[in-house]
Amino acid sequence: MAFPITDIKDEEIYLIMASASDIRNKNIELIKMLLAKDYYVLVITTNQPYDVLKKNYEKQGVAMEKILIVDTITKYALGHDHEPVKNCRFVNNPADMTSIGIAVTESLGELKGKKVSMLFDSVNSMLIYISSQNITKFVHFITNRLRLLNFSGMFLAVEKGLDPDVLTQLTTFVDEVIDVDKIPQKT
Amino acid sequence: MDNDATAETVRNLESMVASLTELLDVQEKVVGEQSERLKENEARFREIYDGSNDAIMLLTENGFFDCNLMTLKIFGFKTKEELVKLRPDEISPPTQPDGQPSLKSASEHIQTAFRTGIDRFEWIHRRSKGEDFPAEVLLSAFDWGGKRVLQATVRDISLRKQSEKALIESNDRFLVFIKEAAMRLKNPLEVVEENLAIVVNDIEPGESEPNNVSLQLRIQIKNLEQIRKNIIELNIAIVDRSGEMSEASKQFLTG
Repeated sequence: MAFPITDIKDEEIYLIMASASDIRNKNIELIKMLLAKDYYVLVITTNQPYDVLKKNYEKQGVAMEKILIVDTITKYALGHDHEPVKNCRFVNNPADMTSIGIAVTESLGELKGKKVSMLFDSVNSMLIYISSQNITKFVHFITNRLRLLNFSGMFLAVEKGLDPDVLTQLTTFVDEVIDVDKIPQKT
Repeated sequence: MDNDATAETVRNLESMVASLTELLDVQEKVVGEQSERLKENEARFREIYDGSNDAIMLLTENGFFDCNLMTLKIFGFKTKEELVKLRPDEISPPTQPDGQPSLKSASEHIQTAFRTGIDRFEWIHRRSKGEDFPAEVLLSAFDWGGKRVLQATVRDISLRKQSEKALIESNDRFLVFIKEAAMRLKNPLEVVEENLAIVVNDIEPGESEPNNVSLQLRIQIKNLEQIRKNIIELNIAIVDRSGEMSEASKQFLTG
């Protein structure tokens, strides 16, 4: 499948693989594409904090109105609460999968009836705090939940260089794998 | 013949009888000693045979005809008679791990041992109550009472197999751990490297906001703290695994 994806199928889950140095740009491209198709985008970040993501998105011309963020890293790094933000839920700790699960469920509830997709950024940064076994369990939990809710789509951004066994497990939860490096660049 | 001659002959005969009697006594003594030695040897052989920790069975091409006490213990028989009416494949499961029927495979091993004098192999045997166990079997052919017979020595290697399996599982677990540890070091360090490069790229054109730079750097410090903890976890596993190591080295790796 080409990237950006031209024909997102409803209720499908995609695994997007890119090299570590390229994944931030690919994520922004993906969000732009989803917004253009009238999707709301729920971003779960364990890497870039909300303030930095917002600034980057705005700099790249991405409107924040249809973006919701579950930020697992800001509060942990600051050691105190971030001032409340309308479209972001701050979780205490990136290793606290229960709280992340609750924040995701609450965010999905807020977007009920809307075309929603979810972007998971990123597996490599999660690996700092969570074992690969627990990451795959968590992704399994989230993907199951999305399928039960007849969700529109989920995008799991994965940097290359994961243990092939872990990657194989992750691919079993998704419907399509997109390797952006294998797609011919537009000239 | 005169009287003197007769007396001489009688004396000679008496002397010969005495010598023969003496010889017979000596011979009897020698035979008695040899018999005693034979009995001692047989008793010693029986002691070794029955005192062995391995099952030892004697068989011809027609089947078993004798076994030691350990055979009864290992296979769970009460008497030798229970064993001697069975064929080797009848104290085995129907098939061996390679999928071969035990009957065919046992017959091949017996033929090999008769032909070459010896055959050593691993085998799954079955106890009388139906429990299977791994065994190492040594078949040795020799002549006995004018017949060619085989001595089958069966060693129960259940414990050795369990240890081997535990070692393999332990190595597999360690390999999984090492792979996980490597992924949880290499990939996160790439994340930190990439994030620091982003901060630098933002600072250089003067586009960055001090609060964001500070936050991003704080995150990378937290990331590095956690990576250091992950390295210590890995080191603890290595110390546990590596056996002998000086206390100073242990402290260095895990402190």
